[in-house]
Amino acid sequence: MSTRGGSARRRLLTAILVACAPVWMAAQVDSSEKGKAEPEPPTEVADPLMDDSLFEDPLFADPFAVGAGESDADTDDLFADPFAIVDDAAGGGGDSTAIGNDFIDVDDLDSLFATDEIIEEAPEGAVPVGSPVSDLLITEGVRWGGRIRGSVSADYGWDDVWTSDFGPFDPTSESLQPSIGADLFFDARPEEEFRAFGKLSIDTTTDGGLDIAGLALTGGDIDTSALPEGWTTEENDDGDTEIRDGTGTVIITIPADGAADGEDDEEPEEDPGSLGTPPGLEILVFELFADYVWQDQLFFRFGKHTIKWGTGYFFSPADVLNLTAVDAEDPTADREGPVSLRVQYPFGITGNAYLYAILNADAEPLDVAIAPKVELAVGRGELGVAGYYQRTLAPRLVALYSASIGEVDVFGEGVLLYGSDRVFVRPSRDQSAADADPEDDLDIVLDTFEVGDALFAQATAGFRYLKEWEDTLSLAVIGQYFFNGEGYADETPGLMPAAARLLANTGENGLIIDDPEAQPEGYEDPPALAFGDVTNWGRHYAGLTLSLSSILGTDLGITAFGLVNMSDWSGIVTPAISYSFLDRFSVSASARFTFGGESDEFTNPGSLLSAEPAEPTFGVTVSIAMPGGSF
Amino acid sequence: MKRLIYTSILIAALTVLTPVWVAAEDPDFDSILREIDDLANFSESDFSAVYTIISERPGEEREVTQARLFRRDLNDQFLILILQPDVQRGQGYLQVDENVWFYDPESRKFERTTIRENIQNSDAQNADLDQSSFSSDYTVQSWQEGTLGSFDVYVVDLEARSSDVAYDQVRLWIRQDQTIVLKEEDFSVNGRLMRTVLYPRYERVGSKIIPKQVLIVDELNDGERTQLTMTDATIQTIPDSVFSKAYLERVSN
Repeated sequence: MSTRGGSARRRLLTAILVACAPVWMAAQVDSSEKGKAEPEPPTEVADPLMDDSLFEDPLFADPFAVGAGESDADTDDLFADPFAIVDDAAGGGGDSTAIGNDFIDVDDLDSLFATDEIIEEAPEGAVPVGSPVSDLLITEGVRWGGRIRGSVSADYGWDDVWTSDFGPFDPTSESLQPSIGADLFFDARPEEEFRAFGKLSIDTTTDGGLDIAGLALTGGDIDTSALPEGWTTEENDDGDTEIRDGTGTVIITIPADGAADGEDDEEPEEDPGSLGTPPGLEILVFELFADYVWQDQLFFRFGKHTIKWGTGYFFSPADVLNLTAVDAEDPTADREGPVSLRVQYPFGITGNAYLYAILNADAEPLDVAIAPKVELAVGRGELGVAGYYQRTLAPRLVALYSASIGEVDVFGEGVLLYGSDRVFVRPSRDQSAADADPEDDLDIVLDTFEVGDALFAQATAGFRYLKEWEDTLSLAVIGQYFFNGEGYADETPGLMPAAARLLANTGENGLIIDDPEAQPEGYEDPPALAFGDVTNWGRHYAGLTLSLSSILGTDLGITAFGLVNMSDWSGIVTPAISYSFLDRFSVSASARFTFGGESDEFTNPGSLLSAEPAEPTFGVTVSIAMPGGSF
Repeated sequence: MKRLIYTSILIAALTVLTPVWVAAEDPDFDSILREIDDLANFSESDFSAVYTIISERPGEEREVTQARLFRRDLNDQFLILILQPDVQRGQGYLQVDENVWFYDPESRKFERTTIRENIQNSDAQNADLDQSSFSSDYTVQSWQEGTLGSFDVYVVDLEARSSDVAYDQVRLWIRQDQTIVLKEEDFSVNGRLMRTVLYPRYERVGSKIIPKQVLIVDELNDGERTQLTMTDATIQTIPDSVFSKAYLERVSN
């Protein structure tokens, strides 16, 4: 009896203890939690929905608040199993077009969270086999599109900034430059393996334009073959000769009487104004190519297209494939590519092998340039090794690298050339022509020569850092150093202006023998300088750009750019400020300073073709970007 | 006397065993985070889907971006191709190993970027479409139980193991009866709430469970929100060539 009674009491006691145990355990949990080194929440548990006025409906007051065991039945009814698993949901994962572009209606959260459709099944049958990949590669018909852009710029330039002649309201040159341009493309993909693409570029040509004063060519016709690719000469209505760059901008106006604008001894006439000349338009086939894929392994592209070859931003010595070099002052500008055949072979998980054949007109079959490249991702970087061979040019080996180190992207290029494509100059042993120059403009007589059997090295390294601060500021800093092994270590004073003079006066070459009877057997004219031979004159360069945008969350942006030749310490500094308004307009103002000595590279490149010593220049540009955009 | 002995034994046993029991019931959040990752990751198959990303900003027109995602989690590869709007069609992101590139068909350049970069002008990041990696990227700092709507949840505070992740601190609302995340708050390194993410709909794709609809609320800018909707999900095998620069160039403009 006592045993039975004792058993009953034990069961009763056990039942009481078991019943109390959860309470006890809960206390233990609390105690355990308190014992933990629990950090304070990052912030007070501020429910995002409560922070948003759109969610202020009292029905949804703090619906996601951590209740710590509390449960509001009324609220829970609103969220009755909103996340319940519904494995047999019909139509889930169907056609993407079935999902409209409607945003979740936050005023209708009730139905959003009250339904039972939460975890749906993706019906595999709804997605045709292979369609995700192949659907992207075939289009019906031809797709057309493009982008239009326009701007009006007012430019004011001074080339006498540091002289007594400088007058802030008397610029040496001023111009108004309207510009309208567009890119138009077509894209046709009749088959999965085949595609055709073309892009036309329409740009304004400048028939009014900017004259750069301070030029005084004293003899000899302009050797147009020495001008950069795309540059032209043209006689204007006044009989003066204008040299235009590839965009049609007048770089130099050479008066018919041999003196440059602004160099006349006569008193300057008051500017009577001008009606100007309506700008013209030019149309360029910027890209035109066809793609073909063989068995998903070999990717062919033939035609004219931009080639991405190097990793550099301001300088890319490795890139000898595109038709124009990177412009350090406009490094993101589209660059025209050559006509080429590209074969690409992806291998492994990260590898790509390329083979380019660059094809030029009026060449022999053996004149085709060959450029292979292999690139491979290694860790957080990508390593590339490439080569370039064209039988008339210096062969080169190229190493490329880009990587991310923390939040900083780094990139670099190394180039090793056997020989150089550059035509070099050196003072001639015979300076009698300079001594006898009646106008005393020829300071140094130069010989030109080429180097075909020596190694040259070029290398560049840079970084890019982008950072955003919680929608109050965006920062971009890009810097790059360039070692130019083809640059001049010779510090002969005036060598570069003398070379620039020789560029326009080829007959002054110290090695030229004009008299056929005096020419020795086997005589050949010395190599002629080209414009590219008087650029990148130094051995050390650096570029840096710093850009602040979305300042305080506005459309205001500030940019500063600097480019310096560290061999002669001349350079360019360009601060700019811009502001966007009315969605598609923006206004910007920029200044452009140059600095350096009178015979240095960046002091005043425009004056290099004259016999005048260069003075630092200063220019201001105010520009309004007109409505434009893609279509 | 016997009663006292039994009672003492019982109390002693409960005193000793209860903490063990409680400890045994303590959720293993490392395991839970791994389970969350496993449910959302495709280690044995490829994954592809279309994401429609709707962004809303006060005073601005609603922006709609559509992107096709290809994922091969086995090799840490993904490719995101922008399908809409037309003006950005052909732009894309390619991840191969630890490298992420952005391709711009206008310039034909591949530029390095990060998985933290926002997709177009939205609050969604590349990482939102990539595989889940809570267990490897974060450590659990604290947790508590709570409710979210009608669900019992664990509210778990995570701290990043390194600076390679998009957010230094994350708070997750994890459903207790089904290991899926219902809500997420992302904080900056100084503890500022950056965004809140809601996961109101999931889709089972094969044996995995992927968020089908995601609402991202920008906590820094009132009224800015982004909604992602996933469609056309499939685990069909994707050709190797898709995860290459060649393919991205091929499908772009």
